[in-house]
Amino acid sequence: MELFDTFIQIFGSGIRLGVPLILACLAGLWSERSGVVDIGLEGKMLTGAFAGAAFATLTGSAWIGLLAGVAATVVASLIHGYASIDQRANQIVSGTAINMVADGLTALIGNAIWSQGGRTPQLPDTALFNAITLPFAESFGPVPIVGSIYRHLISGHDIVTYAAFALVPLTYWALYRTRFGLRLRAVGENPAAVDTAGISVRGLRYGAVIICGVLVGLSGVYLSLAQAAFFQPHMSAGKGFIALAALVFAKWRPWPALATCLLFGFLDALATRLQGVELPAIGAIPVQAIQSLPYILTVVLLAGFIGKAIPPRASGIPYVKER
Amino acid sequence: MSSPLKPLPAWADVALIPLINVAAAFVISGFVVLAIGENPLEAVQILITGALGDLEGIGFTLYYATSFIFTGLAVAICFHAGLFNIGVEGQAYLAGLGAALAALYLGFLPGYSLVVVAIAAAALFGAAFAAIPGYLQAKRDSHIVITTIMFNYIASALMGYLLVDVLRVPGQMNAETPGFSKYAAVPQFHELLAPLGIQWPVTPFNLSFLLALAAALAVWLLIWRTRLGYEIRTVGANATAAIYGGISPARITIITTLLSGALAGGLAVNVILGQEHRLILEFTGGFGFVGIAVALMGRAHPVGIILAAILFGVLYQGGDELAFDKPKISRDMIVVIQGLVVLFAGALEHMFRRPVAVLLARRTTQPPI
Amino acid sequence: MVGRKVILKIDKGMAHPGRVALEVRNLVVRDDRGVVRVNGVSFVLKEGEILGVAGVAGNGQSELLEALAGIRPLSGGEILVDGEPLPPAKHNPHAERLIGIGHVPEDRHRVGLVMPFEACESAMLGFHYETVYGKGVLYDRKAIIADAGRKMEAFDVRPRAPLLKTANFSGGNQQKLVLAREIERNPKIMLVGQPTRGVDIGAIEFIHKRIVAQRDAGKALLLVSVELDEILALSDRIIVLCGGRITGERLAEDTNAQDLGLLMAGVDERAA
Repeated sequence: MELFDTFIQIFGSGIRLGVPLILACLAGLWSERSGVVDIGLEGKMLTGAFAGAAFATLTGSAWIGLLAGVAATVVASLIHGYASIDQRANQIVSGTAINMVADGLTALIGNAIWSQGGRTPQLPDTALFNAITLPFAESFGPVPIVGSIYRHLISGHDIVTYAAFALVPLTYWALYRTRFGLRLRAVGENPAAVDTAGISVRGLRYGAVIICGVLVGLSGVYLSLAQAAFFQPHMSAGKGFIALAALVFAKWRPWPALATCLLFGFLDALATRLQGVELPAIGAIPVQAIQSLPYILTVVLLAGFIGKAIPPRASGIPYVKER
Repeated sequence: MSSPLKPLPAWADVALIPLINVAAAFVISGFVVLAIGENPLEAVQILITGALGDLEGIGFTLYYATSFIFTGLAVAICFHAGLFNIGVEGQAYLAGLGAALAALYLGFLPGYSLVVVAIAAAALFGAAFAAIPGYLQAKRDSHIVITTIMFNYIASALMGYLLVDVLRVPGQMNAETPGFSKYAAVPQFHELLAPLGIQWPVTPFNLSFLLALAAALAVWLLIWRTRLGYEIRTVGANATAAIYGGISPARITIITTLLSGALAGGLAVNVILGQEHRLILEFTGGFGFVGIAVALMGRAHPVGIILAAILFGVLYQGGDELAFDKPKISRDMIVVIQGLVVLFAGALEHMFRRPVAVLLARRTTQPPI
Repeated sequence: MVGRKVILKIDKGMAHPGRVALEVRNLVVRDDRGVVRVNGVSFVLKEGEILGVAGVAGNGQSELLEALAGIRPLSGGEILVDGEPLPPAKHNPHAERLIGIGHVPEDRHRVGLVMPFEACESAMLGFHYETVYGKGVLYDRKAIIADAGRKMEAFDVRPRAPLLKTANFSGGNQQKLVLAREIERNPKIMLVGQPTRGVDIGAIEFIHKRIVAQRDAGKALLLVSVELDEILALSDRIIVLCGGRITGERLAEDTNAQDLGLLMAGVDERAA
């Protein structure tokens, strides 16, 4: 029974650690499916986290923080979009620039306003996204296994988490069952064909980039307003890049993306749980080994030991209208 | 938006547009400074006097510039092969390990040959760490951008573990190795000039600077005057033509990343062997990423890189002074400038072509009065 | 428009084919997506002849050419040079150049030249390791520029500017540069793809003359072209590819556009 409880605990942690990945991964999915490579997810996550925390601190409202966070991230996304779509820039360079500017700017402004080295003040519960207890969670609790799962795993998350999970089927539906989604996927594979059909490649790509901005903004807001209660410089700690790796692993599809991100979250939680624990033959695992596990796994993944991943055909290639 | 690039006179292409791009980065930075409530012109003044106002400032500026030349060259050599090496930070970090291990455990070597071996060890470790992402890109098509980013985090974790748990001086609080002997030190300029009667203020500015200049020359010769350089440039310009020409993109990818990692080691030589004389945590300080800005601003050419590196040296040294004088303008401001340089010199590099072309055309088609 | 009468029909003497220089047996080649594009092709190429490969674009000619040049791997069959099978270790562009197989690729923009390079650098592609460009570790810039100048003079490439970017030359001059580079090495076998695609009339005439001159010098030339006029004008012998197979082989003087056209569509009237 104790083992089961531990599992529940780890799974719960896994979900919490996986949510920012899910949102960022979906963001990257929308962008890359339309042909715009987005290395800048990390920087945009920071942007969303900072703007969210800043506005939540200033107004005392988590929702205003969320709107601000998303708005700021959409602006960053549009800069990347303008560079990639209209200026036909090298999209990797553009993404890198966004990461650098975001990294510096968030710390700079944070420090300029609150003088705490870039950290925003601790937010009270009223300005955060708190756990929502689903109906009957308390009463179902004692029910063996199922009740425990309901009470600890399904109930008790904040609204952003539930939104993240809802966005996966929504993304699937939008991408595969609507005209917009079909056109968007087409633009990522063969923009010339879409152009010939009289549909604006530029418009679709900008649309994708904006959707990406909203989603990654949400992932940033989650970090500072749901997971922590403040913003701290560099707090995304590479999650934006791990989300990118998850995207490759999931071969740019929504449901596998969800599974991959949850997997990474679970492994992250498991590793934290094992910290300091003495394993029979090996002894205590060094903290740093645990910390670097997601990054190592990403490399293993990318080394193709788990199948070959083929990106959308027009990915990363600026579209030039034929004369 | 879909018109071909307007042709500009050569001088505009090589000098004017890059200058405008950098200027744009600085102008926007100025607005940021304004937004946080400080005076940008005053900030610039403090920055420049802090960096170039006295010999001490110049010494620090050139010390930083040395690091940036190495990292800029490392990124640039990969650019020529069409690769984006974001992992210079991690490669330089591992290079430091190589230098430290040589300095600490090869002390039996005669005299100053120790420092030479330590430099070689730094290059070797840097190259080896870069080799893995390079190999994965060449043979398994793993995107080198993501793998090198991952390896930066892996380097951080690995070195953290080694410094805290393995190499640390026993009983000490700080996570650092014992100090190196004088035979593993790259001499600093003020030490060299003192016996000649020249009084130079104590700064970390050391002989690695000359090594950096030599590396810049070597890179120039390699890229534009050797067969390997020709192959690197061909793969970077057109991989299909390279294959047609009997060049193996996979082989070139691996060789180029090895060279890049070795150049990244120069950062470790400058900081660890030239100044700190012990291995410390996070000594790379983000300078690997500055290399990206330097390489883009310098257009991947050694001369441009040296100039850009000196400019960033001014920014970092001046930025230190600025952060001291105006706490609101923290060191992060320099990272913002860096990012904006990457944006304007790298991503938006053609944005100003049209307006410039129009301006130039208008001037030349003025009817004589 | 050019100032003199332009010959589209080549003044070409009789071919004197010698021994077999290149032989292809049951060649199977797949494209990048794994689809079979060359499906069991066999033919011989003799010294002193031009063998034309006719066919509608997309029927395996490109893949055949790439496979012969060592750019694309074989999925079946073998290539024999001078009667000896070409081992896999030698089935790559560099080794083939050393054996004496030259390749003028179908696409000079994407494959044959490096557009951002100076003309003198594009003129080295594939031969950049040769000592004529520098005996030591470093290149001899003067030698590189002089060599390019010589090539440009010999093949009338205009303008005579070895330092000009390759992209700034006209199509015809770019193609002449490629030909100059490949022919100057004196290969005994030449694989030529779409030599006059996107080339102006004057340059077409020049290029055709040079190709015939190579034949007369005893070289074995394989010519792939989608221009039926070019195939008929230049070839001594013609094979037709349709759907990755050879649907027919003719001597140039025994055939015409209609006959070839039918073969290209997969119909062989004479076989019936």
